[in-house]
Amino acid sequence: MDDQKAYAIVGHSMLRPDAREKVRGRAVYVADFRLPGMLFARVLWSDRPHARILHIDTRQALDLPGVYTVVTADDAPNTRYGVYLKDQLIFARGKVRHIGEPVAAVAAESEAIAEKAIEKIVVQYEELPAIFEPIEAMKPGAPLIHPDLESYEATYPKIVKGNVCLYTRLSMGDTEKGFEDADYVFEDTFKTQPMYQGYLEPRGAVASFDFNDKLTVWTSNQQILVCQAELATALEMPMTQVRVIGTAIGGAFGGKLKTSVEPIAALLAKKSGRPVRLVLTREEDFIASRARAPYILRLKTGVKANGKITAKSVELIADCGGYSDHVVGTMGLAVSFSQGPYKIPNAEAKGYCVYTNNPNYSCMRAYGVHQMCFATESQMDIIASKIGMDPAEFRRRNLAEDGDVLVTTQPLRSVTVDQTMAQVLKACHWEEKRKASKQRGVKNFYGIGMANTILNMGLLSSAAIVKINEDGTASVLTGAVDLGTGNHTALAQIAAEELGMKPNDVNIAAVDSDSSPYDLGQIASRTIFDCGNAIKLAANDARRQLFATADEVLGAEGRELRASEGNVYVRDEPDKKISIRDLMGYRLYFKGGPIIGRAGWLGKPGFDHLVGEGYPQPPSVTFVFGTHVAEVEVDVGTGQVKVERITAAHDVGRAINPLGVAAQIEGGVVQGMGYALYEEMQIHEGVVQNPDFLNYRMPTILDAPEIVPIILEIPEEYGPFGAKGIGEPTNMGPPPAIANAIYNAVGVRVKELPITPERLLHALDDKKTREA
Amino acid sequence: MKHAIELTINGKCYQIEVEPEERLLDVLRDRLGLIGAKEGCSTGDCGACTVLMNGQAVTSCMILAVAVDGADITTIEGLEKDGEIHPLQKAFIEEGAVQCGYCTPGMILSALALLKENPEPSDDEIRRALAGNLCRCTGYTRIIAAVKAGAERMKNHG
Amino acid sequence: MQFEYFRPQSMNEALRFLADHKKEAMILAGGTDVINGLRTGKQAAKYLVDIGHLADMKGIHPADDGLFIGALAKVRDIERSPLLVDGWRVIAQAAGTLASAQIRNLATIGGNICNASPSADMAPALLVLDSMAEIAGIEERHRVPLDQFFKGPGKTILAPGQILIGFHVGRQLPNTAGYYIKRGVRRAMDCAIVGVAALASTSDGHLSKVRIALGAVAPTPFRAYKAEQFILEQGDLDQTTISKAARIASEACRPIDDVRSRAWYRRRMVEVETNRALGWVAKELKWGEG
Repeated sequence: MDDQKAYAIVGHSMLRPDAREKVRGRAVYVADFRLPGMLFARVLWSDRPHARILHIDTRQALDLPGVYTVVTADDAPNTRYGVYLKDQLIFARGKVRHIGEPVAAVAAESEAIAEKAIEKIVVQYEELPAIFEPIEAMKPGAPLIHPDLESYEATYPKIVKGNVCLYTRLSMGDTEKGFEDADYVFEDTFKTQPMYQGYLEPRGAVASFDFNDKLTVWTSNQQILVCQAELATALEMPMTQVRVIGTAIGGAFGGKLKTSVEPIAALLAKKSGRPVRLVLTREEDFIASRARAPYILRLKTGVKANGKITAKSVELIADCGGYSDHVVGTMGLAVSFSQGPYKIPNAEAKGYCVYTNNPNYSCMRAYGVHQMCFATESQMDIIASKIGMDPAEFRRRNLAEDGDVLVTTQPLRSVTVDQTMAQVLKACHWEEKRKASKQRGVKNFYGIGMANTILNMGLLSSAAIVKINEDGTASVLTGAVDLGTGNHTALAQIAAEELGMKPNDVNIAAVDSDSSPYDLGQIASRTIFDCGNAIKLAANDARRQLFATADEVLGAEGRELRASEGNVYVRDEPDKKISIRDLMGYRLYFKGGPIIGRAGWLGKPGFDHLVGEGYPQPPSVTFVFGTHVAEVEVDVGTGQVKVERITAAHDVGRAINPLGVAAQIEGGVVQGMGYALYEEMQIHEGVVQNPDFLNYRMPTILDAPEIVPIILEIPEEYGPFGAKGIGEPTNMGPPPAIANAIYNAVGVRVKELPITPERLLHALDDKKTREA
Repeated sequence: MKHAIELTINGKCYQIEVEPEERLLDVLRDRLGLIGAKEGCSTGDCGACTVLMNGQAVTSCMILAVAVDGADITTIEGLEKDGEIHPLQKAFIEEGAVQCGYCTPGMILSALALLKENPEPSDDEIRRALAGNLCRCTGYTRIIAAVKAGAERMKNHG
Repeated sequence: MQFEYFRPQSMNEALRFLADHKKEAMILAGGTDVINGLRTGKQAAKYLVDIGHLADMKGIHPADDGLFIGALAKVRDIERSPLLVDGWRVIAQAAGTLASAQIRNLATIGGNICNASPSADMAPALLVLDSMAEIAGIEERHRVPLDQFFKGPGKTILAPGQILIGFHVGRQLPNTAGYYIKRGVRRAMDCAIVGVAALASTSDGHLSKVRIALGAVAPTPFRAYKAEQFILEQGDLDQTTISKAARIASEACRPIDDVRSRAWYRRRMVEVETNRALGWVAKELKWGEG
């Protein structure tokens, strides 16, 4: 592995070029878009959780001055689409399955007129029995939400029954024997809440058809190329006729995947013959959200008196709401990582994804592993406490190593959790603080807790094209958008390092499906890893072409060439050099022609043996690890928890842009803290009770704790310059670390998120009653 | 019925006819193309639409334009002088306080209102002044650092 | 939201317009509640009467009998008013807990009170100071004790055509301390789950006045008279008395379950926070320190 110091650009903190337009208020987001003749759209969302649509009368809406068009399911192809399970339509057809499902949409001269028109659409419904509890929905005789489920196409070996749209089971070793061998067996049930991604920019899209019936969509989607493909499927158009362009994105966190508003805007644009902009209000964004799915997690773990885990089995139930969306995928990862980063010889994992008439749930940062991590890391502390062992020591005795297998039977690699743990415990003075006195004043108690994280790294395909320009700069075409994370800065660093250019001479081009090569999207922490690899390979391809010409021009006769700061020179003979600009002049006007570097990348897991039943995910390429320690103060009078500090160590393989990595850790930690303590989409009979930023409580600047990021760089063989992704792991540590710190402070275990003051006070009361 | 109002925006006087229901945010964004003020929640809970009105930070989604006839408004677009960005804007770039950027203009304007009254704020004063500006990306650490760095830079700029 | 906008040039013009249009008219002051209400359709009006610029309702002014706080005084100005010290400080302190700096720059104290949210942060502070609300109609003006002002969530005694002009806050005894505790979940931006204001005065080493007011735990903000009475009867602010009074206060409330909190938690927090607010007051008054 190369030495970090050998790199001129990679590994050095770089300021983001896009920050300049953002601080000036000039970055253009979807809502800032205006096209000549553009109309404004509003959507009529279902206000019934489960109902047959008898009739939709749009006449009064159409009669309103300023209204151009109204669309319903009648205007949309009857093609079901979806990522894992094709169960979705653009508009509800025949029946609605959740509140917030699109029923109709209007395009008008202004949003106000469109809004008025929406109120004039009359929908006759016939209520159907609705069901809101996944466990109820699994029972025989429960009302069927998708009676045609059996016939839906799926990308995974589908095992379905009733409202269960995914059943999966994985196993390894002999769990029964494992539990027999155990001295103690722990059974705990955990619950997680629906969590809203809370990006500051609501979802939106602008759609326009040209005279050749080609559709162009501008959107703040996380998956531009996937969006293109899904639009083409949903609209029954060839992909050549669908062009998707990425705009500036005001955050996403898993909430702007695949398509949501795009097909609606497209149908309106098609029918009206005008460009149409659809930007959701915050309330709509909540109601029609794709929130992180709530999980019920039942864990059973057997452990020896010496602290060795002998067996673990989990049963997970996820609530999909009305459509499966990404919930199916989250379950795949949740069961995969149900052991946590621990060596457990006998393991079993079962997962169920269940339709209900709750809102259409989906996924968020750290996918299903987030929910799983809360349960596993909470139970690790429950066990440690019971067997009288320090939680860190208990974890150490069970830490996985390279070669240990997941319940998918895939062997782990690049396991560095021992090191993230060691670093973080040292940095936060774990030993002393665990022993320190808990009580501060009369009502306040200090606590410290930890959690380890594990996540997959590397997911499916990316591609890149590197064009060397006439002036010696380079343009990188990729399908990767920058969600705000700063990945474009780091991707430019990767290209610049490989090309031997200055980072500011590399531009990551705006993403346009007409010219950008395939990319799965900015999901799964995969951008630096997968797109980074594609870009590095493409840049290498371009460099190879440059060097071939340089060899000729410089008369190097096969001697080793190097490139740096925009010049190519013969190694050990730095005077024998030529600028890339001059090389390009030679290429373009004399010999060789333009230079285009290109590469496609599909991470090879070295493991293609998919086991078990109904498993929906591809294997991981590699894995990424981290450890969080939370320090809290609990007010036992009110149940209020103040997070004082979170120390977060993450192995990122190589920090391409250390500044960007630290920023990801800080942001992820605060989001995770919100999930731990404050945030919950409260759903009652399918209705979101708190669809606003007043009552859906995201942490404010006053709530943010001190964050100590620790960046470990243990190079990953498969990563570009050794790098792994960092977006998601940062977000999973805080909930269990905080729950464990609370237990350390006051001896109370809360197994349901969020740990609100009421929930904690309730638990404190229970403890008092038990003790009395 | 439309009402004629006069607003001074970033030092320029505008005479505009507005409908009674038009919010200041609508006038800035839709009439004048000042897109730096962002609509994040429409309920005054996120601060993305923050502008300065007569020197004070306000959420422009909570203001009817007709009701602030005569007001002096500063938007993020008004911070640049002679093609130079404001020292506070510079600090946000250099401290890495910008991620998705949607909260950034509002955040900077809230910070500017604070620094004008209190050129050397403590961490706690910064937090209190920015409590109405949600950020989902950064975890706020670098925003606090940027406000402090901005305060320094502003002092040096006289 | 659709309405006509009217900006009267004087109080009289405002009152006349309101008298002529009664239920068709709605008053606009700071706008932070009204605009939300109109936008979501929770409120509707044919006319929006903008009184925001009427000078005689602005500002905080010393008066013969204490203080006059105009209904149009901005919450932000109240938070930072140099007049609001000693016994009156609780008003400024409560003002600082309301929403964000941006909202405090717009919101008026009158709006906070007239909106009549059970959780209005300004209400408990004004209640413990025995504030009188001054109400103007086309033909008369009168003062009403603030604890008779609220009728229910969103409801006040204001009749159509009337305007709340401001608040008269009486002079307080030299030894007076008041404190407002807002219990939310986040450390800012939340509506109060429970709001508790407590205030006490001493003269010659005796407790001469005790006030406790509660927000967000009943259809209206209200005074916890029984708890006050109990403390006065005991004539003490020691921990035992405070704890009992806090319990009495919690028994007086009628909280509900809603999206922000559960009733049991609210009731419990009334006890906890009343305890703490009174404790703070006792400490500030150096009670029991000889």
